[in-house]
Amino acid sequence: MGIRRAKTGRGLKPLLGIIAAPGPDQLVLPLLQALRKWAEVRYLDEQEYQTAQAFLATTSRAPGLDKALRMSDNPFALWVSAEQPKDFDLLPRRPAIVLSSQRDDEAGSLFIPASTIDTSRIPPITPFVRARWRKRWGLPELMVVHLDGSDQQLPADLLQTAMAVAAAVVARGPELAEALAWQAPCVTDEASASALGVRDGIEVLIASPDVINEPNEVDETAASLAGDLPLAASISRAGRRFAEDKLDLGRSAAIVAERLGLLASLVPAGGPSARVASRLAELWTPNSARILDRVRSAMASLEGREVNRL
Amino acid sequence: MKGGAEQHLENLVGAIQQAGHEADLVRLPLAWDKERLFDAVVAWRMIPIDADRVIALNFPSYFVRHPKKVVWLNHQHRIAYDAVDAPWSDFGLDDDSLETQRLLSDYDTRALEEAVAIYSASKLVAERLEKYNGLKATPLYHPPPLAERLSRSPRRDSRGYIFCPSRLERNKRPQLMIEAMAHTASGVRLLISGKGSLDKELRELVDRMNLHNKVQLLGFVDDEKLVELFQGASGVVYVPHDEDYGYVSLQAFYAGKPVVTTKDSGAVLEFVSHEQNGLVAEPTAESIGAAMDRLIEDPSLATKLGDNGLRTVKDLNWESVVRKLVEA
Repeated sequence: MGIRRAKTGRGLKPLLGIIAAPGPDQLVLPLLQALRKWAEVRYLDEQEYQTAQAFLATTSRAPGLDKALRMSDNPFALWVSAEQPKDFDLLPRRPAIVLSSQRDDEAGSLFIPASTIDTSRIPPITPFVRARWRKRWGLPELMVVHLDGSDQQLPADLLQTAMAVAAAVVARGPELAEALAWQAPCVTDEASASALGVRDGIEVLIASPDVINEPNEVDETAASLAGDLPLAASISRAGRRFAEDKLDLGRSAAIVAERLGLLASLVPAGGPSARVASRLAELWTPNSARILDRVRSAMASLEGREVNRL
Repeated sequence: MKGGAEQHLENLVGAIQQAGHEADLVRLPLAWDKERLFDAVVAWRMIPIDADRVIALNFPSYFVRHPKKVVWLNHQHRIAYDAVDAPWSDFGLDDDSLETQRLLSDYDTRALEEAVAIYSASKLVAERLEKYNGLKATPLYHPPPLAERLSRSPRRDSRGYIFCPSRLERNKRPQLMIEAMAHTASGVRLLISGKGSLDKELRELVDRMNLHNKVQLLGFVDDEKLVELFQGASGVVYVPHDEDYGYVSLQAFYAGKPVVTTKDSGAVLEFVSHEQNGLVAEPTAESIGAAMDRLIEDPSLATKLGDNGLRTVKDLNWESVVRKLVEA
């Protein structure tokens, strides 16, 4: 069976075939876009079914899905929505992964967020390191940033800096997701917490309605959180993990790509140092980290990249 | 002279083997400077360990990858955390230091999250982990080196000295113990065994303060001599700053001797209680000196505290430690 690959600058990308019914769930479209990082993603005609490395069906009733699964043994992902019945037991074989925009852990499906948070671009900063930054800049020890009011008057880049070093952040609505991604200890309201699916005392502190709407009261709650280092460290860590696992579309796409075997088929660049880099990637090492330069330097002579020999 | 961490590793491997399991010790060198700090992290990350489980005790060994990784945390890279403001820390408030701290704390958290269980040497180590990384650990106490020999050795009459076996390093504060002797009036002597980077400085301190009749720096002593020195002491003084665990105080209790320590000695205070099995002084030379005088001038108090010290350690054993680590 031929495997179709698209060329890229770094290697060859596998083909991920999309099998869709007319008018697919709009919520699947951002996922398809995110999957382009690892694969050529496009709709397939029947004659192309055998050329795809993997499939993604936007519904179990997609025309051609049954045929595709009979013609190819390659893995497939199945998108399920609330409106569609989960009757994939009728399919010739089971999906490698089931995807849903609904949080339904009982069904075992991977939750695909609608969020566009990219946690790989947001460095996680623990409360302890935040305190060090505040000390460097002479900022107040219990600095609280509000994303729901006056602090939003700050320019965007300053607001991000404030989120990065604040001892606690009061965030409501969509801003809560970003604050969690910064690993900020967050105070929020019930509605914002419920919308994201975060829990009181676990990923956030939820202030009651009579507190959240009173500036002095909410400041006191946030300051109390800021002053409780173990609690701040615990909930901010859990908040960041929540953002990575449940709010980061790119990360969900990576999981899908991994389950469909798309990552393994990419030609690795950089030789043995790529393996080391992948181990460091597991620890979310930023591309700018000095340790990556040290690894490349250490491996250079083994990989024939060393130019000057003494 | 082996440090506490080295003895801990050897004793743990021995205890696991004693329990009928195969156990090997894997060690890698580590560069402590900021520039090379993550080199050993990478090395641990790449090492293939084909075992049923791994038990990691310190930074950076807990970066090892294994599906059954158990962490029994002695300490993290403290000069980047709680000891960041200590004179021996190379972390400042510059960009490089702050980014290294950021990366280290994130790395530590992720590597430790991989563990199937996290234990800590003491409550203090668990508290630090929670404060800096937001993770919980269960304290798991263990016997110190020479526990059995000390507990089996006969109690001897006090020979009028206070003893301290210690590495002669700044965080152990041997200079504070020596300065305390200038504030004693009971005729007590202080015997310190051990070696370290402060050896010359401490001898000069004794000279400068004219304490030759009161302080003896013994250098390295073997285990037999060490047991003998514990047996003949009126008490043991141990005043490190913010210690992770505190073998010396436990060894004192196994020998039935009271301990003089200070309010800022860290996990030592998880075992030493003021006027129960020891004396907890302010971290000043005057206060420590007064406590040492008390033990010499009141032998019945010293005996009572020492007897209570024996009771403090009676439930420490390796069998229960191994069981928890192996069954986690």
